[in-house]
Amino acid sequence: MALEQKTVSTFKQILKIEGISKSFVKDGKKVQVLEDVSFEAREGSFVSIIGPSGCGKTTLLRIIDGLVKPDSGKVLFNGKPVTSPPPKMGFVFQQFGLLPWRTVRKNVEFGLELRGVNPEEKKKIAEGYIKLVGLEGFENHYPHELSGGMQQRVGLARALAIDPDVLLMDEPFASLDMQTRELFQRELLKIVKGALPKTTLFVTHNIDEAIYLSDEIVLMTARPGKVYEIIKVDLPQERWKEDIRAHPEFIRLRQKIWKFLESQIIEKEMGENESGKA
Amino acid sequence: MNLKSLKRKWERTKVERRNLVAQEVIVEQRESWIDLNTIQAKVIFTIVSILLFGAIWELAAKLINNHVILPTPISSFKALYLLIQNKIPLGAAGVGSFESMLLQTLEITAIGFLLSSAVGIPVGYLIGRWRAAEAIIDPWINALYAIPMVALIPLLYFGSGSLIPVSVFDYQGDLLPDVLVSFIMTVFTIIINTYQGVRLVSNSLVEVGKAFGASENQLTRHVVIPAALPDIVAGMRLGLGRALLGAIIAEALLSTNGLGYTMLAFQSILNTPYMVATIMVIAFIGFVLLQTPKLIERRLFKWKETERIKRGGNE
Amino acid sequence: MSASIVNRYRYPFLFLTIIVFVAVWWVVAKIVNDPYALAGPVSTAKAYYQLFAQSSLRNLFITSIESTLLSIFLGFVLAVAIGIPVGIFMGRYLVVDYLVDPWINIWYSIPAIAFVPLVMNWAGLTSISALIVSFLIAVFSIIINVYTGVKNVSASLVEPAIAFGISKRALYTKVILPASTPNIMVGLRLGITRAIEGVIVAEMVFSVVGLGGMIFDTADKLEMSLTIALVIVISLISIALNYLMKYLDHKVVFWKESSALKRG
Ligand SMILES: Nc1ncnc2c1ncn2[C@@H]1O[C@H](COP(=O)(O)OP(=O)(O)OP(=O)(O)O)[C@@H](O)[C@H]1O
Ligand SMILES: [Mg+2]
Repeated sequence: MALEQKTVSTFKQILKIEGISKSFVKDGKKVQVLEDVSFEAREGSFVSIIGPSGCGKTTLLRIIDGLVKPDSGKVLFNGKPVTSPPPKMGFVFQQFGLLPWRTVRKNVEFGLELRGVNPEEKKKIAEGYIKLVGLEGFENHYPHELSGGMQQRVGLARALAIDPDVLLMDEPFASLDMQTRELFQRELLKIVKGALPKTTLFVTHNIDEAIYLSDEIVLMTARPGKVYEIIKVDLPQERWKEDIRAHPEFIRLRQKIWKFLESQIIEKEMGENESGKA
Repeated sequence: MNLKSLKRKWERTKVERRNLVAQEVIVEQRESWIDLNTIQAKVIFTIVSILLFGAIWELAAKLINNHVILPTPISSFKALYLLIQNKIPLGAAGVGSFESMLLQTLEITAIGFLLSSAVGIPVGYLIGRWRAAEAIIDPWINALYAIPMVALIPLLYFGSGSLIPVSVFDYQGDLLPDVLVSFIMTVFTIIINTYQGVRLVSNSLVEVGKAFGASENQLTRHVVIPAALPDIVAGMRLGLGRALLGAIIAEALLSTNGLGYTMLAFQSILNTPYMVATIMVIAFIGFVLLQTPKLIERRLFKWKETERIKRGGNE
Repeated sequence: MSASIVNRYRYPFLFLTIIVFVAVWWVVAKIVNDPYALAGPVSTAKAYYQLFAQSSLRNLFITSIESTLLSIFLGFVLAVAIGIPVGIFMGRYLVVDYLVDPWINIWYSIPAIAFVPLVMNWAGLTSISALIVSFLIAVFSIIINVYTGVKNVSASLVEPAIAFGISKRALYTKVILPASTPNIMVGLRLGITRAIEGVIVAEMVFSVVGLGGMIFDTADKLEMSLTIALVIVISLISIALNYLMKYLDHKVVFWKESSALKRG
């Protein structure tokens, strides 16, 4: 109850993305990846970013975390511009990004170790998060001994362990099978909307996943990636308690997003065919 | 748990292990008139293999019937025994005691190797991290890899007298040129492997470090070095072999002691059993130097091993 | 940012580093100021002129190069002809594998030069001896890589083929052999590099045949500028052969990003 009150009552914009543009030089040619991307995230909200493959979603997350400099525009985190990875942001990587020479526990401890947390506390915190993501008993395993799903749990525990205010997640569930995926979605919501409230930016390809998880969905166009529309998801909170996938609003949103993505993909294919002929 | 179920479990994990590579399938494809997938079979076959090799050698020697071209295994092992006992045949000019030649070769190898590591690892590391100059360092590295460093030995040796004041290294006496040869033969191998190890550290892991707020120092300590370490150590193992090769070559060409010199000295008096015995000592050292680190590496870098198998690569 | 400049104009920059290298060499030679210790670039250039102008020297130079290249190539070709079938055989028959395996690692870790005196007894101080050394060295690099390649072909390639009812023979020619070409190419590349080195060592020990012999001989006579000229020649030959192998590797294994070589 108290938690719910908190998410409803705070309207503070914890994250502001203002006019981000980014291009890369590839084979001597300039490729515009992001163009004037702007949106905001309320504290405690869950924002998904969805768009066709290659539209710059990963690049956008990297810019938000301060890993890549944008050509123009800025990212404000608690009102301050981001220039390098802020201590209060956690990143869950698309390919897990676990350090293969470290055990599960050592991987979860990684961020704490860099921050100079003392060994006992470090161990205690790590154990807590390992338990939270359900990896008890695997503390001393190496990443190569784990399945993809388990590796992703380690990635999540590692990001949570530094107690971030903002969690950036890049297609974290892409390599999981359907059942595991839905299970993970529910578990994630329980954590970031319940036990440990976080502001979450979540990149995905999966429409159902985006609707199920989010308060807001940022729809991005094909490259160069622009914000096409920001959709508010008007569905009940604490979604892990009931199945909302059959909710009429859910179905309406799914159709709407699907239509948009379809148009983007068709447009892109036609564009490529034309440039192929020229 | 009874014995049977234990055994079944063992069999199952064996299959799982083998599933990593195609061996399971291939092994089934191979003719098998006994169960070859047991440790016992491996041991038996190793013994058979050694005996078979000995038999072929013996047979060949008997057929050729010329002690100079190919001595029998028995006479070679006898010579090895006598060599170790310091019973050196007459006429082998200047061949010292067995301990002295062994010690000299090992000393040159050790110093050459340590010097090469001390120089090669930092150099390889620095140029590996110097991403800005990648495009011009690469061709140089390729060239250094291709050039047969042995060709530099005469330059080094015949010139070194005036280039480097030997008196500075007096405590090493006349070992200095040999050590230099061993160093030259080794250092580039270590540089190149370190360089490659550092270069192949994936950008995504470096980015993970940065995302969790690692400083430049912490990146080096917690990401780059651990990731490159298996390659660096593998380079050092190869370097050990190179240092030994360098030592033997130096002794063969420049020195008047050591296993390299001894082997040629026995050749020049056409005492082939003793020569083969010396070669066996060299082979044994080479085998130990190259294979023992492998065992250690396999334990230390299990994660790398699995990655390698998954990629279907070899070493 | 500087990365993109250097990487974009790589060839001019590369050329620049070569010029810097020669300049440093020149300066060091000037400082050392001892033609017996280190000949400078100018006297090395003069040595090249000598190599081509003086007919006796030229003839020696040409026969030396011929002999060295012949030893390397014939030894290597022989090694390929024997090494690849043996490697496949070992990968295919567990019995052969178990019988040969203990020896492969031992032979592979013998320092190349240990073969030299043995070979001297067989064929004297000749280019044939150098050829045998080249063969003995290359063949183990090739066997060991072919064999690991054949043995470690991924199950995900073999199983579908079996599911499609492939014959045993076709499994080898159509799946296992193509899949292990990256390893085979690694073996060939390592093999040729080691073979070149082996031939030079052997020739230096013989000191009467090939480029190695000529290098040793000129250095012995303290004609250092000639020695350096010859060292540069053999280096360029090795570099060229290496790039050739690399090119072949890319051609044959076009479907795989270049295999990272362990270099020893
Ligand atoms: N460092 C870089 N250098 C050059 N081009 C890059 C770089 N990083 C990304 N790109 C290019 O930018 C474009 C967008 O990449 P990005 O990974 O951000 O897309 P994405 O939306 O995350 O795609 P996906 O859904 O497939 O993960 C791609 O065309 C990619 O090739
Ligand atoms: Mg992406």
